[in-house]
Amino acid sequence: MTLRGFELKDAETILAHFNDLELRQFLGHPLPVSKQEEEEWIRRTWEARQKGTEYTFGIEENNKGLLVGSCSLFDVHSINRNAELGIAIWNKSLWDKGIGSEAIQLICSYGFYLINLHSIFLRVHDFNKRAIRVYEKLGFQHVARKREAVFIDGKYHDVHVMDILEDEFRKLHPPAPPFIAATGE
Amino acid sequence: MNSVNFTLQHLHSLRPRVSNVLEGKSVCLRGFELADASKILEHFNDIEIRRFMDMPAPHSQEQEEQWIRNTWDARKIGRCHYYAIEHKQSTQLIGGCGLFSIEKINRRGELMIILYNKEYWGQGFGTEALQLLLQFGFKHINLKTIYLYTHDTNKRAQRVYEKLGFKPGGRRRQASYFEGTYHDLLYYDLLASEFLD
Repeated sequence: MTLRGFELKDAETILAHFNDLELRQFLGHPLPVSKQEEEEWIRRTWEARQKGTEYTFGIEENNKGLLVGSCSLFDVHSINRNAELGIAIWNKSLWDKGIGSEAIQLICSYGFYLINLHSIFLRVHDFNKRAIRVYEKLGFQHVARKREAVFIDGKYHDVHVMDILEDEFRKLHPPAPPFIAATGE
Repeated sequence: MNSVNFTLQHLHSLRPRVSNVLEGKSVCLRGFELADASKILEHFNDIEIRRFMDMPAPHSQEQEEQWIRNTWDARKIGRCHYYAIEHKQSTQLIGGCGLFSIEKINRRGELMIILYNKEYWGQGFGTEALQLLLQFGFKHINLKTIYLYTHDTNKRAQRVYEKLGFKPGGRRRQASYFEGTYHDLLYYDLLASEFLD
């Protein structure tokens, strides 16, 4: 797969998948989004990347050239050298195929080996067992639990915080030169 | 908790100090005025004060005034509630506290407090201000959860939060860099059901 910057025309692909409760329960509140809103969001990813506060990319599957999701390092803090990780595979037919796992490895390599982060953390809803397994497998550690921190579909749920430090990531996933080409940058 | 005399009627009263919404035994919480900026600055560029704040010093006075204006706007849209902590007897501004990053759907907000004036440290004024702020958060703006991060080295703060009923929920490892090293940030949270019981 390839991580690449978003183009405005991607808004349509995003919309085809994004107003879906089964997907959105994992990402926050399922508030419907419109196409122009998504286009604005895409423009915002360009500006944020220039400022160095956020690195958001589309995940493109290499066989058919399909845009299947997005991943992001956001709230990049220049003094603490950390950022939060976010990822979504919108295309449900491509869940459980290891695409998310590979994309997370790529974006974390980007974080540690290209933009010089010291740590990356993430938040995940406690009912998202599939994601938690992937993060554990990649070396993220469970470090905190935010009690009843998110209200989804009529209920409060705990949110797990997981993080990984640069030296831990280096041991598990040493720098592999091709990832730079894979980012398309 | 009983020692704090919380009176909402001050909201509507026409006392000379109309902004004294939240009043305890020794301190009250009130909105910031622009004139507070110079008071804040007297203390704010002190490394001991700034150690646990995630912002590079020094600050300028106009920057503080701008911050105060921002607190007014943020309060109107319900995103943040920042209040000055005033020592009642001396009417000195001794610190600031607030609930920020308020998530309306999840009904939670992050808590912060700072006592600028070191002469007022260690006398329970911070604890009292936090009790007022928690009552405000749970009873008046209807939050369900109030959470905070504190530095692993800030033991005094951890004792205060635990005494107020906050539960340790874990940490973010090496998430904050100051004075040459990375430090863990400890996460604490408190549910309304635990506080109001």
